[in-house]
Amino acid sequence: MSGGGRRPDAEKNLVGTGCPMNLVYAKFELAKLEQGKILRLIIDDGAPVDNVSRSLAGEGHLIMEREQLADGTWSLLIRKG
Amino acid sequence: MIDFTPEQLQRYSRQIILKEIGIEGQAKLRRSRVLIAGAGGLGSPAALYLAAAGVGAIDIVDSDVVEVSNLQRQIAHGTSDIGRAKAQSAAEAMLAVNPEIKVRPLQTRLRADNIMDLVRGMDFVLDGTDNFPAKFLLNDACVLAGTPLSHGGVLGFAGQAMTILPGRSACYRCVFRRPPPPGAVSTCSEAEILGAVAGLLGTIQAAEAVKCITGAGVLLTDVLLRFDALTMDFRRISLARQEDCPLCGKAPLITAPIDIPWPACPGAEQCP
Repeated sequence: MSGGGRRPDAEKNLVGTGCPMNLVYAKFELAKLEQGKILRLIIDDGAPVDNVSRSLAGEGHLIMEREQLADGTWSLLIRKG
Repeated sequence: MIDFTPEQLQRYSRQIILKEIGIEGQAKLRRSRVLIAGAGGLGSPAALYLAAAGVGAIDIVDSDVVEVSNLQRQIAHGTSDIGRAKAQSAAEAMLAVNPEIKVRPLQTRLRADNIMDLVRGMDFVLDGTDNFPAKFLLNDACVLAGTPLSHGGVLGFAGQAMTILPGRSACYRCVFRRPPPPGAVSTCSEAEILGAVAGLLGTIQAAEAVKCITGAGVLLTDVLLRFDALTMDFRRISLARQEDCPLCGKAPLITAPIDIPWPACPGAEQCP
C-alpha cells in the first residue's frame, strides 16, 4: 500500500472521472509537483487504469505500483519523470 | 502559473492530453502574445484556431472592411458583417469561440512607421497578408525585432509557407530578395483563390504558431513547404540562410523597415 515505503506527495481520486478528463487531471496534478515527487491516483478499473497508466508512462513518468483495491478500483503510485 | 479551472481543463482537454503540449504547453499558450497580420483568407482560420487553442493575447490587424466577395474564404466573417471593419469582425468571432482570451482589433495598414511597434514583444507573428510589400515589411520587421514569423501565401489552388526564426533560419529575403517586378504577377489583391486552399494554409500557419510557442515538434524552418491542391502534392524545398542576404546576412543593407512602392491594380474598381 505504501509504495515501497514512500508516501505520496499528492493524491487525486479520479473514480467516476471518464476518459480523457482522468488523464487531464492526472497531468494537472503531476504538473504541480517537482520531478521525482510521487502522485497517488485512485482510478476506475478497465480502460481508465490501462489508458492513464500507458499515457503517463509514455510521457516519461514511472508507474511505481499498481494495486487493485477491494472495491475494484486501482491505486497507482506515479513518480514524476 | 500552473493554475487552471476545471472548465479550462475541459476546454483544452484534447490538446492537454497531447504529450507534446500538456499542462505546461497550455500555460505557455496562455502567456503568449501573437500578432495576426490580415483578417482575410489566411488570417481567418488562423485567428479562430489560435483563439480556440487558448493563445492568451492576440492582436489582429486589417485595414479593410468586409465585402460580400470575401465571404467565400474569409471564414471569421459572416454575411451580417458586410461593411464592418474586418479586424473588429474577426475579434468578435474569436471571442465567441473563446471569451477567455484577450483580442485587440487594429484597423490600420502595415507601414514602415508602425510595423516595429506591432511586432515588438510578440512571441509569434503570422503573415496573412495579400501583397508583396506587406510580406517583405513583416519579414524585415520580424528579423529586426527577433520575432518568429510564419510566412504564408496562396494563389489559385497553390500555397506556400515557411517559418522564420530570426538569426537562426533562412528569412523571406534569403529566398526572395525583392518583390517580383510589377506585371510579373497579379498586383490585384483580389486574385483567384479557392477558399479551402486559403483555409489549408492558414491552418498550417496556426499549427506552426502553436508548435513554436509550446516547443512541440519541428518547425518549417529552412524549408519552403509548397502544395498544389489540384493534385494534393506537398513538396518541401530545402533552404539555408544566405550570407549575402540584405537583411540577415553578414553585411546587412536593410537596417530599418521600408515601405515598398507597389502599383495599385489598374482599374481597381473593376476587380472582382
